[in-house]
Amino acid sequence: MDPQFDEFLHVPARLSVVAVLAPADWVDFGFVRDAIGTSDSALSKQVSALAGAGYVEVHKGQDKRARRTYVRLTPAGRLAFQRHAAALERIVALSRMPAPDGPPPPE
Amino acid sequence: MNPQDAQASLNQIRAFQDKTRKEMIRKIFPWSFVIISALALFAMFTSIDLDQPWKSIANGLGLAVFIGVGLLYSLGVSVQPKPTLPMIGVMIGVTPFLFVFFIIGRIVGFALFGLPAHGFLSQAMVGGALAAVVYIAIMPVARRIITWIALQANGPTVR
Repeated sequence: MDPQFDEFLHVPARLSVVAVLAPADWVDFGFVRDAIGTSDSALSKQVSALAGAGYVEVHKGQDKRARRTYVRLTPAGRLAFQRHAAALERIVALSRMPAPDGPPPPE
Repeated sequence: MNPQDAQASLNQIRAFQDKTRKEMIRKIFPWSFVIISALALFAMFTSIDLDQPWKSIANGLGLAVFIGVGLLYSLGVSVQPKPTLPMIGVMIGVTPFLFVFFIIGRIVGFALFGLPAHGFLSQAMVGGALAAVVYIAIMPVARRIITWIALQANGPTVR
């Protein structure tokens, strides 16, 4: 297994959250929920797990009329995601390379 | 982890990243923000030729509306782009550009209409109107530049 492959991050629900957050800074909790098609409670559980691992941070808005929660990747989370995505790309790339003891390419 | 699963994960990552990028681009400088901030700019520029206390009132009001609408816009979006130096550079770079058109407008106001350098119907009003129109006119270009910067800067691009 690639050393940069992150088992914790590869859980589909967590990887979805991190992928939604990656291109942006702060992202509204509701947008993340709708983008990955999950429930508030399920997303909250994944965000808590990611926050516990230091991969995301959470900010709750002060406006009481429309209290919004924002989530963003921490630098550690961003780095972990970049490494994990690179590991996935390497796994795919390696599978496309011809095996060293395989038949020679046709001339 | 087999290559098929890895490819499926990469495809999923790309699809989710695209959703975020689309939302981010959709909300860059909406027209409501552009029109209100252009009016605020007009008030600030026009206030230069007003007498006190209207000068301070119009300037303060224009500045408050300009900052307020900017804050409301940035707090109201679901997806906030990561601010980068080129992005800030574009926003700051617009200011002297508008000021040049304000000066041109003043000259036009004096040369063509013989307007005075004081009062409401003055050179500053023509300059402010020209700067506000130019501000609205360059927004599609600014939006394209900011979109390009946001797409270049944000997140790893998964192939």
